[in-house]
Amino acid sequence: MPASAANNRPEDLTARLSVGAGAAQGEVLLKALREVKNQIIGNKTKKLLYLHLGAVPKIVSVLAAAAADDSGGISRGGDAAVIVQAAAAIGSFACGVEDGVRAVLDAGAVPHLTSILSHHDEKVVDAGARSLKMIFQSDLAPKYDVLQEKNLNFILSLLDSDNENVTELAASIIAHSCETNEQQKALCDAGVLLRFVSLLGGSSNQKDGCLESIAAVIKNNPEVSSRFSCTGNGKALNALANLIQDRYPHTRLRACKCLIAVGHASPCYVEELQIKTKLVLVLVELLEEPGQVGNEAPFSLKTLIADDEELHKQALSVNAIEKLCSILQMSSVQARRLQGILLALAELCSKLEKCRCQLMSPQVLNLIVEALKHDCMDVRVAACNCIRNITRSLKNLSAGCLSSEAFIVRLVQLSHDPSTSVQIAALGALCNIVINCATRKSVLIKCGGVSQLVQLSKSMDSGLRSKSVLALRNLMFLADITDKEFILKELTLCTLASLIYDSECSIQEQALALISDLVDGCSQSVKHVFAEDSIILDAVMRQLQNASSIGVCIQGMFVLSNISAGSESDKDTVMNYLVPPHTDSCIPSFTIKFLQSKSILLRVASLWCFVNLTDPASVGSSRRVARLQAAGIVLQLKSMLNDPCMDCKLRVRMILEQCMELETAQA
Amino acid sequence: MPFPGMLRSTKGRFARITLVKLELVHADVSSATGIRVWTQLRIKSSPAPPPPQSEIEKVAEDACASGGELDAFARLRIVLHLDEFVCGGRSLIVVAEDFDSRSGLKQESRTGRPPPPSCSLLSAGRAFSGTQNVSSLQKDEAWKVNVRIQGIDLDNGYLCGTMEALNVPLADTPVVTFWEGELVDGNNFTFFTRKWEATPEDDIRHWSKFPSFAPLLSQVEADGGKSMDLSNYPYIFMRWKEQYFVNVGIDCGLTIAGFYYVCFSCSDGSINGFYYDPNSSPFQKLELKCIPGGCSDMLHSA
Repeated sequence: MPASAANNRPEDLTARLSVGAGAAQGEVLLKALREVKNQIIGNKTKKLLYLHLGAVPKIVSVLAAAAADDSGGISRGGDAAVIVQAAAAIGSFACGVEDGVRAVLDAGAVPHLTSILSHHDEKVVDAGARSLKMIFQSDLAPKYDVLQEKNLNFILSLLDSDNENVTELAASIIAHSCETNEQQKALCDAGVLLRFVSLLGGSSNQKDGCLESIAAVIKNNPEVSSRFSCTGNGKALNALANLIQDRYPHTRLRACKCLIAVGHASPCYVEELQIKTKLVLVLVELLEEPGQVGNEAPFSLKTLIADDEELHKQALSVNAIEKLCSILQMSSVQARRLQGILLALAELCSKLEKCRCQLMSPQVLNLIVEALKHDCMDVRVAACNCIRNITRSLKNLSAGCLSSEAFIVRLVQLSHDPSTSVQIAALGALCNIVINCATRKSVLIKCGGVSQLVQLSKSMDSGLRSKSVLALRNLMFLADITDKEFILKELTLCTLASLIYDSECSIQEQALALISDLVDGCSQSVKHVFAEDSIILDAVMRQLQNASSIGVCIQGMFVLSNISAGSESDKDTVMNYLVPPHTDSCIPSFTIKFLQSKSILLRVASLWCFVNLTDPASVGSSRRVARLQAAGIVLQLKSMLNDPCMDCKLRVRMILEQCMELETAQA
Repeated sequence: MPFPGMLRSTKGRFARITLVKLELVHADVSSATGIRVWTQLRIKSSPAPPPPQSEIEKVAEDACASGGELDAFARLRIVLHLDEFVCGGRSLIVVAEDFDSRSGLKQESRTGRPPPPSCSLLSAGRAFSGTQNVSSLQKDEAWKVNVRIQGIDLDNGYLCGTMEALNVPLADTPVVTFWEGELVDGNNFTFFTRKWEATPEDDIRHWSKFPSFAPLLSQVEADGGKSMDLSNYPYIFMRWKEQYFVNVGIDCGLTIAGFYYVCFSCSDGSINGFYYDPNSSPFQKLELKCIPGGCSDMLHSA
């Protein structure tokens, strides 16, 4: 083995990384630093090895000593070279390896690197700025509190520099540290946005840095975003619009992100469909880029088109779904990219049937279903969301798509996932899947899905409770009598009653709707609402009397309406709750109140109760009509003959005609 | 929601123009007040030859400059429709589109349009039962038919469901099809089909079979019913188009090439319909009654 190779062993090199006096030792140190730096650049294994050998604290000490020696203002070429090599090595350790960043930060490198930014030698400044930039690209880097005047002034001084590395460092610090509205405003007030706009004409790196910082400063801040948009009479926005056509994909992506951030914070400035169409086009092209650009593009596309049907159409017209699907079908897709693609597909399928149809090929569906098993939690969530939105299509569901047992079983398994986000997403998909197909309902029941949903309906997490109760409700919707009985047996009346009293109104509503669906069209099921001392009916009535939420009242009245569509005794029971016998003055206050409600749906639900209670085919209807008259309800109904809602008006007429028919028959 | 007089013509040079759409394409923000001032407008469309764009722009600019009320709507969508543009010193009638200021999303314009027709008897889960008369010159024939509404989306004028034909000759089992429907709401869909091989004459001929259509006929002949407010009409008109067979193959001997003109009675939930297919017996009548049952709202989807 040649001697020089032996001397370059990491152990030997690390040993030589110590501060010593004299020119000869300085030369050795410089060589060692340069060698270490050259060995670790782009080599993660080597970085980890040197970290293990404790090289980082030694290099930081070298940097500190050399910087201190050189602070007198007299140029000593030797020390400057040592500083440059030490700073470069530190930056390299901090690049791409989290342990490296941690070691650099623990060794206290940041203050020393910061101090050399004011060095008279431009090469030293360059090295320090580059090294700090790498540190501030890591999430582990400390946040810079820009609200402190000293810090803000420091950043402004960096931004004022003519050195591109230094201005890029300022951009990195801002992109990394700016989080709150207050910080955004402080930076905007200090004029950083103006400065960034002026720097957008610089090098590619500088453009990228500025674009990232602009996005951080305007994100979700309408005021700052408006001020930015007005900068230079629209010059800033024009600059961004030009940069979405930059020759470099990474710059195009960053410019898109900025415009999306402006669009979200202050929509009026980016509402021209033309700009949005261009953004869609650029982002769809970027989907196919390799590396980070390709990984991030689907996230940006998703954010841009979120909830906008028009933009969904635009994306569809430039083959976004086709491209996303073709990437999905590649042999190995990174987790981050896969997540983004699934989220973008989920967004595209959230509204338009045309988009959903494009995903209906068995190959694509299989890949989405496969993603349910992915190791990465975020991918599992995205796959669930994608399935949830695809299954919004009743057309596809009715055609038997996504009916396989294995698939439903997998979703049920995911409802046990250790991550709550995955559980909630899986429940969202299950809610849609079980809605209108007897086969899917029975698969879910057979694989133990009901007991799992029941367990989740008792969860402390309201999100899980809400989604599981909605899934149970959808399972109950149009289920056959056997399935209804099974669901109720698992759920128990006691749990159902406690859900009606849940602390969340939305859960109360779903629980009541579940009872409506239980009773709907199934006279045998009505008995359950009277069972166990009418625990369910009492809960319904109590909510009707006390509920503050209109939605709860609507669902409660639908329950009463569905019960009153049943037998004679069911009708009488509801009647006794609505108009207690022999106590004319004690009509529950809600009866008339609901008929007078501003909510059309509440009036409709209430009127359906009376339609059923006055059904001429029912022998007890005459008696009930007499009681309704005595209680003043008929009078109230007559006052609704010109209800502004056609549906209400027709129901009122229906009731009054039925009342008249019964009176005529009696006479 | 019309805002009469919000914009006022000051020139009075133009003849009557209908359906001119102006789009405000540029706005400046005063840094002192944050109020936007419209400075540039663009004509989007006009069915009749419009006056020179420059002239309309001028009028609109003047109108904007003098219309202080616009500031109150500064956060609204910047597109204005001119439903009527009558000059000679008379008011312009404009309708502003909805704009969701939180997300900045342009929404389907509902302002100025009637709400979609709705009825609690036409909701997800409702079932209907009756017959379809398929008689021809050779023989009298009727199938028993069951229909179930699977979903309804009033905002988009969409509904869907399944149709089960029970005693179909040559079929061993009941034949179930999945259909999608268009609600005639004057917004998403008009009385004119403009597809599925149906001409406006076919449309009028079929709709006219429903007695409840008679009061609407003249208006429909004029513009397909675009300007009609059907939200308070006690009948809902629809087209149902079968999309696929659910439980049998396409070789079951039946065709789903045509579609149904449907009239739904909001009073009792009864449904009448006529099947239209140029290659099948004309005017096959569908008659369905609502099966009594429960009532629920229709928000099931996650």
